[in-house]
Amino acid sequence: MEAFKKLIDRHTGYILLFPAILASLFVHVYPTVDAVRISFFDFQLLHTNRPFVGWGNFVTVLQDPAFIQVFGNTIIWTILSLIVGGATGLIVAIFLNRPYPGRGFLRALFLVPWVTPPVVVAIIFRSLLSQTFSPINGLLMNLHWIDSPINFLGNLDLLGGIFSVPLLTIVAINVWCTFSFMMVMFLAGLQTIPPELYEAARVDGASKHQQFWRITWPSILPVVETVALLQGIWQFNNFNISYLVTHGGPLHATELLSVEVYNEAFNNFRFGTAAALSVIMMLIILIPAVFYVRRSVKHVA
Amino acid sequence: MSPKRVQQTFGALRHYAVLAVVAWFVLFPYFWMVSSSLKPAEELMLSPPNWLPSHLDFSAYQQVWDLLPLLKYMGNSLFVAAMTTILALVLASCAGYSLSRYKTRLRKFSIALFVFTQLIPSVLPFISYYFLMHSLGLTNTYAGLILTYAIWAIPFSIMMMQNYFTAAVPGELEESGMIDGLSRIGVFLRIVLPISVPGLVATGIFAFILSWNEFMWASVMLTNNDLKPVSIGIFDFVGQYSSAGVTNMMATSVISTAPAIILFGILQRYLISGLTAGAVKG
Repeated sequence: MEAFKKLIDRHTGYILLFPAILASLFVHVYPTVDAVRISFFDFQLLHTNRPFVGWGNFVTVLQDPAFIQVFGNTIIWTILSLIVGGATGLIVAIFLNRPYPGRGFLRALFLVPWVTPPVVVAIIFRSLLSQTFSPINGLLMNLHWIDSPINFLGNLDLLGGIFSVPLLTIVAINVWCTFSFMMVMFLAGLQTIPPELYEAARVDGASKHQQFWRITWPSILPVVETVALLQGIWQFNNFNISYLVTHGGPLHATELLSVEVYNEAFNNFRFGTAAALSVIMMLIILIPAVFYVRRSVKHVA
Repeated sequence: MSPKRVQQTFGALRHYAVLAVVAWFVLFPYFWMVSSSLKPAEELMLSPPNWLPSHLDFSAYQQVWDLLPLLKYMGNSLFVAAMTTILALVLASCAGYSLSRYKTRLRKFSIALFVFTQLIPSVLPFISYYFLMHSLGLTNTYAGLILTYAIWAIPFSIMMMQNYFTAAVPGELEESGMIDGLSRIGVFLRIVLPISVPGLVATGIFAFILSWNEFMWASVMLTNNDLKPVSIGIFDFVGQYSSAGVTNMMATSVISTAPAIILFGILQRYLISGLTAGAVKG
């Protein structure tokens, strides 16, 4: 008994760590590796025969005429969500970093979208943006900014030849959902900047503009990098908004890669091609992901 | 007023004006949700719509309460979220403590593993994971939901707990515990955990909200009506009765959003400090 206690005491660090590692291997690592295996087989629900097809699934996926569009949508979605959401988050964080009363309350208030179920977000925005009964269209028409209601979620015209209106609309919804999370991260970064730096700069006669680019920006650059990497990867993987608001429609206009994987697997039951598509997604994010992992390990270890 | 005072007042006004615009942008969808849920059904078919109901009409709440087993859905969500929270806290506080205090040989590997699992496209492991759960007989069970959500929550939770232990729990307390004859596990359970309640609360809300809001896994895994959480319940309701009327959908939305928002409102202070601990350190 005494020996057993000693054994536990000597390996406490491992004993505490093992359950979490095992859980991660079980839920994340094994299924990820297995998805790579499945991507090389013709694996469909109703076929008992599941032959090896080599790169067949990848060829099928890449030759699908919709693939380029869905891929392009995902890239536009990721970049716009990141830039618009990040800029909004940073500006609001800078405003909230000043010592005015009420900032704790506002910080919490702005985070509420982050705790709202995506299903509910979709219901609200579908109503807000419906062509006929939308209060936003009502407002814009009252102000005489537009003559006829905009079909935010069903319009197939392209702005500037690349941006479809529904895609931009779901990006805007996504910004509403995610800007505050970035805001909180930026705010934490801003609070590490000693106020004396700004005082010294003011004494030296630096303008607000100079103060931002010479003090604020360099100080929070590491946080900006972290947030950009993490949010970039998360938005690339994002599923809920596109699936729940528009189901990827009209005609693939808002379809993202993750939605296509989900539909291919759990609506069409073609698991082989779905896995191939998800492996392609993985390959795209592998470089930024490895970069982020290395940074985190270096930082913490 | 002196010019300086004028300038200060003007600055404050501009400050609050900007924040008021942001607040309006954030709150407007909620205003629309509540307002629509209280409108008499015919007022939703006005074009352009009216912003406020002409009179408060609670019949939508009555209707969805009768139409949908909302209490059951919420009970399911609550049970799953509570169990998820407990399981995630146990796993994350143990692992976070180990990473914070012990230089094990698995330290670098496990940090890389936990960070990496947060970055994998969430749909990627889904297909094999579904078959794995199916062969274990865990599809259509609470356990299948709880295990999955808890393990999804742990990478981030571990990081939050690790930061908390490193930043807020002084090592001297543990040393004195050891001198008093406690084992290392004893120190962790009797000394460290009791003073880490704020960190545990922050991590707990994170796991709770993740579970309460999750849609994708539950939609794939559950075919059994009796186990449906709120998110699936409303999604099916909206799909089933697309003509059911916006008022009813909005009333359901209000009912199902309230618990997460109330919990967040009460405990947000802890959560925000927990979330930000990770940001500064990268």
